[in-house]
Amino acid sequence: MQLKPLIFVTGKGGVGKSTIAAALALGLSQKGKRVLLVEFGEKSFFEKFFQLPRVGYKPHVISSGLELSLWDYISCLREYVGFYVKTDKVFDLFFSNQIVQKFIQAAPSLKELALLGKATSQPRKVGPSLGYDHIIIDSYSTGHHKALLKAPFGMSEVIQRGPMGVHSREMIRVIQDPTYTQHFIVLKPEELPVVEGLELQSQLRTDFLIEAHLVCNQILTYPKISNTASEPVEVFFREENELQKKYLNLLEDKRALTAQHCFHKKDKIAFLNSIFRDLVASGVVIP
Amino acid sequence: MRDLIQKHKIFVCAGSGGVGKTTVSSSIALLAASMGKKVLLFTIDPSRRLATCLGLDSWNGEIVSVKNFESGGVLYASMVDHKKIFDEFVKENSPSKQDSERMLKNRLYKELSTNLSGSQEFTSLRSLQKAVDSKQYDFIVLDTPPAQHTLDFVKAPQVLFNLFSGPVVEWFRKLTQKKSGILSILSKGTQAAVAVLEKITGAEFITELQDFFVSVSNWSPSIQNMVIQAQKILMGQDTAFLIITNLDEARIIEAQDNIKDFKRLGFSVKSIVVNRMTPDFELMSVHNQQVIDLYQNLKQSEAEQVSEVIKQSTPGIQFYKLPKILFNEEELAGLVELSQAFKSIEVKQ
Repeated sequence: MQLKPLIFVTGKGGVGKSTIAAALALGLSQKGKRVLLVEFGEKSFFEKFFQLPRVGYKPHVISSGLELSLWDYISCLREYVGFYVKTDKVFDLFFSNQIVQKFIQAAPSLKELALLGKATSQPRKVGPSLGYDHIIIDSYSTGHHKALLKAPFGMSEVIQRGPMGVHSREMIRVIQDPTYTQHFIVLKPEELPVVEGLELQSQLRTDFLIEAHLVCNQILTYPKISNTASEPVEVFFREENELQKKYLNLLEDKRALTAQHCFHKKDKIAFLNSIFRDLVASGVVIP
Repeated sequence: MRDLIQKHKIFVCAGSGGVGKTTVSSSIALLAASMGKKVLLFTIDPSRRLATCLGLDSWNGEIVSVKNFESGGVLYASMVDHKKIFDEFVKENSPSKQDSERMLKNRLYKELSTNLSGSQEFTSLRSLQKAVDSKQYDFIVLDTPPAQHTLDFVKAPQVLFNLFSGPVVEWFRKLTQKKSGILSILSKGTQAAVAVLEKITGAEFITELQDFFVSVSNWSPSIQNMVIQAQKILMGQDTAFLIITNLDEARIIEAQDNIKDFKRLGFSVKSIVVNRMTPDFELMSVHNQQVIDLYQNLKQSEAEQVSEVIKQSTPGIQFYKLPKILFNEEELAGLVELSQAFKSIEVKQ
């Protein structure tokens, strides 16, 4: 499948969502694309992963063609407000107002809209052109990712007029546009990740008219064990293998794409490259 | 683990989603009950099978008695029904029926109340507080809601407190008056801030918000009071935070960071539980070389990760590992077996 300019990667915690996002970003950059890998929040996971100095909102170059940025909603909001308010003094007054600060911190849906607003700013033509071939977002895990996508839908329903309504509708248009945005749900062959992943896929389809792709990660290759083998370790692996098969079967005909399990590796780049090779082999990426 | 249970009355099980937090919380509660305690377990959104096992599958909102032990201990379980608790809170704390109905009908409240930052944390804390106040239990285990960040759970009270504290509500009340022409009530800074807010969000949004906050002002004292009480419980000496994780790099880094952050905020993290470790097996009479290789690969990979975790961890934190046990989660027996399988890991001090 051809990868699009904006890619969201989500999945239940612990399935390797960040690994898949990073593997896609690194692999694409090595194919000559300009890629921005994005994480949400105040704290960078990739900072430790790639052993980088402090990573912030301003993109940080990891390797040729690959940059990393940590999007916190305050910075996104500042950029957005800056687009409307050109006077520095008014801008500062707004953000230094204590009540505004408290309000921003807790106001319903504001965080989500700020982040989605930033992710979709280029096609909506608000804010500067970011100049990347791909923006790959290591998004929240399933529940919060759904809340993130839901924010503009909820807002555009409650607020019809004014910038809030207009922007929300525009955000919806971008995240629904399959020629611009792709959504990946990462899972691994265990009960909860599979059930939650399939559930999210069908919710995105019915509630948001978004078609998400499943990526199954951490598939372990088990050795052949005869049915009569009775050593506890053999019984354990045999049963684990049966379970894995069962969950992979649940994904059948749903075009789940797979990546094999990689054991803990200290060489991060080699680790990501091997995941990327799996993604290419299984058809997630057309190089 | 027994020792840790003896020294406390409340365990808060934190950790990011997908690590088996609910299963671990349940097995800790079972262990405490097996030690002769009257234990209440609050789970949040358990899997269907786990819910069946705890007798919560057709849950009617009441606390369920799960198992009696010979030691005299009992395990009770309950879930946290967010919408119900939130609505209940609104009803209990509104001055009149009209007020509560107005709030429950507010479009922002309806659209966003279950989504509001901190609302799930709020309802969990309220459940905890009610259980503590009832003085019915020797030991309470609280499973925390899935969060972007584990810390959201302890930060939520402060965030809500800020939102419902006097100044923000007061601000919106003044905005209402501004509509009726009394502009001078607002300071210059506030006027500028309002102008910007209107510009970027639109007048309709502001009107909805005003309605929401003016309704909220009715029950802001009760919400503040509740938040203060909850904070006291969480920071108390009887409360221990446990971080549940599995051997996934992202989770481990998060767990490390969480310990520091919890400490900074004044909460005490006593232990890290590493869940779903490959169990120990004897290889003496195994002849299948591929099986041996896979087992050793898994073990070595896990050992490397555990030693990295311990190397970076703060002194005084107790590590436990819990093996991956294959059991039918619908049957309590499996969970009881798991509850006896906590193993302490050697930690360099």
